[in-house]
Amino acid sequence: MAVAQGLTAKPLSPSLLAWRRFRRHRLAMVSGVVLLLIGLFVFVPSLLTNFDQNQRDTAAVRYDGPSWAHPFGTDDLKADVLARVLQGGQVSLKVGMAVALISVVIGALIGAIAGYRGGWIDSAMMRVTDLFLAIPLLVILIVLTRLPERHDWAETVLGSKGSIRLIVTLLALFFWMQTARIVRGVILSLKEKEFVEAARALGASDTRILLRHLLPNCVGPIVVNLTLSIAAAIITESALSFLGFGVQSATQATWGNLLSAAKGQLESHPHMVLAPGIAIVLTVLCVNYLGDGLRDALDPKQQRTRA
Amino acid sequence: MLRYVIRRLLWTIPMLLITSIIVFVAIKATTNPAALRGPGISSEDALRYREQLGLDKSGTEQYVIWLKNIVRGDLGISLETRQEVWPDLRSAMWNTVRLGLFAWLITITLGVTIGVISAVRQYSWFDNTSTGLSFVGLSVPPFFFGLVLQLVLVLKFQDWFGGTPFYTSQMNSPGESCGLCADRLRHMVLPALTIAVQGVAIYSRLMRASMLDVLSSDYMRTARAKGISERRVIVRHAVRNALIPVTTFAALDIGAIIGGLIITESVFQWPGMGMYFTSSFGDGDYARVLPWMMIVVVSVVVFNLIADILYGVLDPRIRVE
Amino acid sequence: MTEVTRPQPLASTAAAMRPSWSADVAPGSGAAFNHPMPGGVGEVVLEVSDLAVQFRTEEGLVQAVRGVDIEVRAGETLGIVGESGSGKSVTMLAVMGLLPRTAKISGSIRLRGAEIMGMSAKEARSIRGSRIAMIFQDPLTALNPCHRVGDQIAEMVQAHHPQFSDRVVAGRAAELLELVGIPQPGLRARQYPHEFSGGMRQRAMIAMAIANDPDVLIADEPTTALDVTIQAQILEVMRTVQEQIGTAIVFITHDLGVIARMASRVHVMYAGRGVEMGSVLEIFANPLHPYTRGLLSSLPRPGLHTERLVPIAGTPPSMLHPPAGCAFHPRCPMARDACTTGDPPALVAVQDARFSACLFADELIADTWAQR
Repeated sequence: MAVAQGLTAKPLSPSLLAWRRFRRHRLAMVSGVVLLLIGLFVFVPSLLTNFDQNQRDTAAVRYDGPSWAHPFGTDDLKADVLARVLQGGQVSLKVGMAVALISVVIGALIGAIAGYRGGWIDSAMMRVTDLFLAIPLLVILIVLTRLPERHDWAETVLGSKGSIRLIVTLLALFFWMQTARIVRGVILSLKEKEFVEAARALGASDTRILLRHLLPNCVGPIVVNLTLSIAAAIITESALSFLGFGVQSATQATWGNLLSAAKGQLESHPHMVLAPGIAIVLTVLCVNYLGDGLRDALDPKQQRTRA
Repeated sequence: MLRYVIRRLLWTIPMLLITSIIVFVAIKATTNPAALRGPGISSEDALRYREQLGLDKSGTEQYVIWLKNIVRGDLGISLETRQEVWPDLRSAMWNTVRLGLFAWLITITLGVTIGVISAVRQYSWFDNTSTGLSFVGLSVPPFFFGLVLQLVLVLKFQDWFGGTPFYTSQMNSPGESCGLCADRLRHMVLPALTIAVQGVAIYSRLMRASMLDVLSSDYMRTARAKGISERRVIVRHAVRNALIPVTTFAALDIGAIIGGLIITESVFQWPGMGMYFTSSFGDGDYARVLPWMMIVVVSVVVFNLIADILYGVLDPRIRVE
Repeated sequence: MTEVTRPQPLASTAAAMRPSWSADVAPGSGAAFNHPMPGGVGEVVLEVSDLAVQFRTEEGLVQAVRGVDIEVRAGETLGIVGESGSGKSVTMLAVMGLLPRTAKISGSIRLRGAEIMGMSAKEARSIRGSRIAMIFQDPLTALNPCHRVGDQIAEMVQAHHPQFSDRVVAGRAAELLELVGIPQPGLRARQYPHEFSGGMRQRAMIAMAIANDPDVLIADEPTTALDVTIQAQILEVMRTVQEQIGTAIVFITHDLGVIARMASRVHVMYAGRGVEMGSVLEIFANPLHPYTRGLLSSLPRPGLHTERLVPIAGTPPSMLHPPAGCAFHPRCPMARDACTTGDPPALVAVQDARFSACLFADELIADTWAQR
């Protein structure tokens, strides 16, 4: 058949190509599955345990190590550690995803406008982000968590002391900057390309150019940033809780405050440290692998010739 | 080049001023010194206390007074300890710098070497292993890793082997106060490792990416076309050029050390800037917190400037500015 | 004052500084390189026989070069013409030993009679840059942006003459820059590539390539990235350099105009194989392969306003699965059944010093091309 002779294959759509490239990343695929499982168990804890996070099992021993009834042991109040880890995971994951989503959306919009429009918007954004990059993030967050204690307006705007809403708001308030800078960079590099000129010559408005031509090209970096933000948000929330400045609640666990409570028990009851810690590491690891796979899949200029 | 440096310096000063205002406002808004005197304090005593501290003046006045003092080198008196702020702050600084630089040296030697080898032997077992380990290193938060190190290398070690060469906290064993000695080193190793784990992961990925970028450049082919040894090609052409972004990143990293070890110091009870901050902010002692913040900010800004200058020195294309 | 001047002849000091040939031969580099004094037109300096190069890629085995025979004589300029994907660059990169590890190379490459295929890495390095040198298409990316231009030339010299001091070598670098027509060579040598204009950068690359008086200078599309006026200057520089040093030039390009100006002989490549070879004049006057004819027809010619441009029908073949038989047959107006099967046809002599791979070249001899 003359067809086969020397003709190149039919080109595939970009999304199909991206999916194919993603599929090659076995590790990313596995991570995706693991994350789904984690999500499943965390939000439907009854699959793994019958206990509620605050339920005290009078039949058990305090601070017991892992056993059949309690796969991760018990804590000082005879509650099931596994239950606490799973339900704590709900908070950590929700915080992670909420922060990431909000900050990426805000960041992408601001970054796109700043990059495209330039001028004072751009300078302002760059100066503001420069300013806040000068102060360590953890320090800023720690300071700001104290704000609602002392000022009522802060309590209404940001959330009350020790609440989940406060943490989400504060983290999102500072996470958008990274996405904004990246998107701005991409927009800047694309702004001068011919296809933008062509669109303008056809009479497209600025908004249309931004939304239909430029932002879609940023999808790759934005998605990657999304995954990285989830990982960073989970870790930051845990870090804050570890130091005692995060979500403060007697009843609601988060991975961070579980670790914080457990650090005094390292010598005597290490299982209390390992359980939330491993949960964090596993989740963040999978998110990172997923992000890496997505980055490879979505970057249209990637070429890899394997030796 | 000189003009660029001067321009950046001129921009730095207003930056520092604005940052100091923000810092001042933020810290004042989040600390309550009256609480330090105890809850049962009478309202007249509280008022007198506030007058003493100068808190009855307007915010702007307070700021100006404070700024003038800082610039003159007078860092004030701690509200909590009634001592001068500077001596404690200085020793905290020193402690953090020692730990931080030690960890940073480990980080950069290991990180850069691993990155170079990974890039040159891309897709080899070394590359795949180090990539995998980097991901793990990036995913293990320091507060967890530090605890695990303590658990395994100290507590369990003692269980299994009867003793351990490492310590879990403080800078020296009780009674000792030596500086550059074995005892100090044994206390520094674990916290330094904790810091280095994430650092090595980051630097090795950065160096690897930079090297891969350089290795695929056209001038690498030209270099090989000259018939020089492969080692020279890699070192003088690839590594030298690939180090540029890594060096500027390293400069920024050093600037961030002074305020960036809060978690590690907390895990290992290392009496540095991190612990200084958590305890003084926890107390609401703004007199101690404010100078702390300014030192951290100045460090970051100065090293930012150094990073920019370094970039110009290393990459001649930038100097055209 | 003009930025660049005409190339200057070699200063006498440079000639005095040039080491004698016998001192070049480092132990272990192969006694076969006791080459005689340069010169002797007609003597073959580079001979490539049945060269094949394959690349392992994710999609399969790409056959970039499928059996190429080339001969380069001392002091001549051989042009290699072909489209992108014809394998012309890959062939010469194979000669230089600059192909990546994913490449499988077979065949024979002989430099002044000595086989260089399969040489040890060390031996290969001693030839690269001293006996054979190469310049590339984009001088901006081909020069290291973080090293001074003079240092990069000096590195070329010191790689093969480590006995010379830094000062001496720096002086040689400045002289080479002067040779290729860069004014204020001492000042320029201390500058960085981005401070040079495009034409100057390419001159500097030429200077670097000839630093060790190579027998063969391979030029891979050196003027493609330059403006037309600068192109002419660079070609002039190469001509002058060739006169001074007596190096043979292998000029790779897709631009027939450049070939007409520079080359004495031409080797036309298509789909990884040579399809025609001969002197420039004869090939332009009467091409003996349908592909060459197609190439020449698709050139716009000033003065003939009434003709339409005649492009070659179809698209270049995929090198993953090249067509059987003659690779050009899907696009050839003369294709017959015999062209579609079997091994790709060999380059055979159809006339005196004229080679063609077309099975029906004799029909083309009769059907003269002249004055079309």
